[in-house]
Amino acid sequence: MATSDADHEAEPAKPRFHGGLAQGFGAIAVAAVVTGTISAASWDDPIAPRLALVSFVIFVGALALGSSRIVGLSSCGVLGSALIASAMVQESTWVESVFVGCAWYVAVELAWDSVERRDDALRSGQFNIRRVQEVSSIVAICLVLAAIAFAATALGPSRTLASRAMFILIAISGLAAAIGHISATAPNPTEEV
Amino acid sequence: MIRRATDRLGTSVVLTVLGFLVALLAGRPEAALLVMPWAVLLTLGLANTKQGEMKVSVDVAQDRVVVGDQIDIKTTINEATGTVLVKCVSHERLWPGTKPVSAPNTQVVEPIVAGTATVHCSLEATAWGTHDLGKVQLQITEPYGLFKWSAIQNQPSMVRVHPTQVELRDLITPRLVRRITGSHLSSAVGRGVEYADIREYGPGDSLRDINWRASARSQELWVSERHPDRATDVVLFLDSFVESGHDVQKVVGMAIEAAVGLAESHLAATDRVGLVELGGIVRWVAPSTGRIQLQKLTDALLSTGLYANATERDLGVIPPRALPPRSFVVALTPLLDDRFIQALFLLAARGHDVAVVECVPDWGSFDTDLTEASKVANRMWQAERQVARDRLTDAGVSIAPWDEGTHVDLMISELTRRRQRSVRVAPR
Repeated sequence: MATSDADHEAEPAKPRFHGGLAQGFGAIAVAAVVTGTISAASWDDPIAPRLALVSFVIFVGALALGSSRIVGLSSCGVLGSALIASAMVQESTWVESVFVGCAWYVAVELAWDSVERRDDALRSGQFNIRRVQEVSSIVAICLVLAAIAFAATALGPSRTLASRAMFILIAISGLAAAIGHISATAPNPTEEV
Repeated sequence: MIRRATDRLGTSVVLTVLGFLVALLAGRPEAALLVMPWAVLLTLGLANTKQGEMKVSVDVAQDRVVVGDQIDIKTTINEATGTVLVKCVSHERLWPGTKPVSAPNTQVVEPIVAGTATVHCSLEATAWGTHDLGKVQLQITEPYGLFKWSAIQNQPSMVRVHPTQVELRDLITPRLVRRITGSHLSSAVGRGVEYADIREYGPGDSLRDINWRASARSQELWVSERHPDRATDVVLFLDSFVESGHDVQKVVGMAIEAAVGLAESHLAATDRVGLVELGGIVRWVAPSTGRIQLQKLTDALLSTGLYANATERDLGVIPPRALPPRSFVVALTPLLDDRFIQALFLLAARGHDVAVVECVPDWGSFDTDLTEASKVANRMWQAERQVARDRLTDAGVSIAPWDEGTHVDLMISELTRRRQRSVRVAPR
């Protein structure tokens, strides 16, 4: 098809703040707080702070490069370092673990959001509200579940065989249900053209 | 639609499994607490997965626009959950000839509320022609983002993008006219406005035609004769042959823009305007008048295609009603294909009044990148083209060159001047 010349002067580009930048800086800030918390909690152990720092660097690098997969997998190092740090402490660290886990989850969600927003798509306010609702609902459910678990274990001796068995049973049932659901909902890929 | 798992699903599964395994094997419930958000994300995401087919519909608000206008596309998704992203990124592939309006309307993300979402995108039409804008690239993310559906929805929706309107100040004056009142001055005498001559009064002459000033100077009655205004048949003769070595689309585009402007101007002057396209395919629109004829001509011009064809094309396939006798033929051509040049000779021989608008291609640095032998060949080829032009001029065909930087009015003025200087004058 022939092309005509539209005699239109190019409009000057308006400076536009990319939404992905705000989420990216927020993710780095939260991740830095989590990493610092882990490092501070393991002041007499060299492994956990180093592992946390390396994972934080990987997290920031993956965020800069836009790799959602590496951003997610860097969580293994950070959460592992948090676990190591919690092992160094004598008293129970359930509360700290829940908060560290939730904080790191928020950091990763912010990072994923930052990567997704690099497509410069226009996202409405309703969309942003929905995303905030999803993340906050997950964090709230975690806190509630942790509170229930903490209250349940406070009633009796911690880490008994019964509590372990119940925990194992719930976990295995949940995993089996998840695997079954994924297998059942796997569709035949079709493409409408 | 294709459903794919996102990185969220993989990360959630890996972290959940690792965390629970470490918690069970090492007896450390802190591991499970650390990965609890991922487990909750996995649970909620899987609980809200979409079952069944979603329904997508695409509506294009306009079916006719002008270059530079905005085209609104509305995409409606039903029986879905999560959020939907409608992309205009691959506009060159999906919507040729358009470009997205500057951000933020190029890609839009909307949440799906109560199973329905409506997304509005805007495109700017940058190239005229007939475009199919019914294809939409969309991506639906399920709640909590574990799965994504992607698809390209195709609902053919033709949009005609008209070229920028070219307003002509003058028309090309035809040499041959019809016996119908119009806007062109005839050399014959009859009832009109333009003064032609005076003669002696004769029986049957109207008293209104008496030239009293001349009659007062003599003792006899003299009447004024006038040139009547007549209409003509204008046939736009479009060259759509494909020749290599230049931007064919741009040259044909110039021709079509000028053709639309000439059609509109001559139809406004009550002329009958028709179209004959000679090229890879042969098409024609018989001359007629009115707004409907303008729409027919515009639609035919907008759907012009470029098809390379090496077979002989002659005027024999064109019916007489498409090329009325004594019609004024305006040829828009780069004068590169011999078949079209021969057709011009044939038209002139048949007694048509022929004028040629030579759409000059932009050869760029073609001349400077040649070897010595190629330069000689190029000069010979240019000489052959000049010979063809001279032969056409000798046959009574006026040729005016027109390049991209020249306004159409200047081209028409040049063509009119050359026609006035032309040797051959056909009888009216």
